[in-house]
Amino acid sequence: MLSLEVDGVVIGMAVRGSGPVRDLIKALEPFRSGHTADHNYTVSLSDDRKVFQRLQWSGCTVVRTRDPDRFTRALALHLAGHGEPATGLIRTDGVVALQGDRATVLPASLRQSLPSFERGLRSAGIVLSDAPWVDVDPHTGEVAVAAPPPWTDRFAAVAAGLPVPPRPDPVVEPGRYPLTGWYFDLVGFEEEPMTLTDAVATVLSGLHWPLSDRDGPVAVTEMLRRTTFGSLALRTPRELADQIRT
Amino acid sequence: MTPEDRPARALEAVTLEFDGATLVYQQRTGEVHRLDSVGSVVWRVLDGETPVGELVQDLAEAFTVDPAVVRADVTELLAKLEQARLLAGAPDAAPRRGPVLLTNPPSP
Repeated sequence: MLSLEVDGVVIGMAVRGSGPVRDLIKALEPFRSGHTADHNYTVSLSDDRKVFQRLQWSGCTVVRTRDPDRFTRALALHLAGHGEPATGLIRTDGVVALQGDRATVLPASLRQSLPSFERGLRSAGIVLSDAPWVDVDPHTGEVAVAAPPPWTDRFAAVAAGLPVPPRPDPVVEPGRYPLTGWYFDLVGFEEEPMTLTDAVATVLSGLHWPLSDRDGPVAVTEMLRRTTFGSLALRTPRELADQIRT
Repeated sequence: MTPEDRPARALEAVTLEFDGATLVYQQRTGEVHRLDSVGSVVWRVLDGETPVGELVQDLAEAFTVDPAVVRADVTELLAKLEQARLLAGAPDAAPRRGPVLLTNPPSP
């Protein structure tokens, strides 16, 4: 397993499979760390065009694609996505779903069945972000999608060594998108309406980096007051797509 | 905590009050605490000037409850607030040295 350090965060990554495995290990060389990391990620590469390239984070498949460019881009986003967020942003648990220019935050538990949901959502015109966390500007009520780090081109040889699919996967482009909905995991079995207090407490307790900005918690509260929010059970992609559209 | 102590809210504790609820966000730890109605009343008066004994007396009179019961409840609440680093004077967390190890999200 490789111990990597990116933006002050030590990440453990296992790389396996066929194809450009050596190229990937070489590309990761500048990030090698002397610290002992937990096993966080597993990369599975394949030179068989029928087999997906996979990125697993803690046992969940977070990226499954045959598109080499999307795969290496997502890998870079995950590696660079655990440090401190940009000023004014909160970095919290969840998955961004984009429909047109409208962003919805879905519960992080979606990652447990991401591959099965992704295809269904995509056919409904909804694309999921490949970033590991959700960055939100609570002052403007926008979801901020970061650009891949400048060193993503280190993975060019890896992408070049993987089979090319008939068509590329759609990806969420970097930018700021108005937040229109924020959905949380259903707690318990009863689908009771979620209160604003529950929503604020859930967002604040799910922050990856504590808020240093004293106005932040108030901004989160005001943002959620203006946003559709609630808890939902993740049953089928179609049901989820309907929920996002409403 | 003695009746003469004058506890105060920690500077890093941000209070959110809305819809009849009180949430306290501790910026140092990133933890969120939800206070019940009595906890909210006590929290508001932790100004660093009011002695615990006076606070107990005022609450007992306001809610017409036995001061001994109020004292026990307030003492328990203050101990919890102190443990959660929500009171001024709580020891600082050890400063971060070196890189952070990425921890995995909870398993399904």
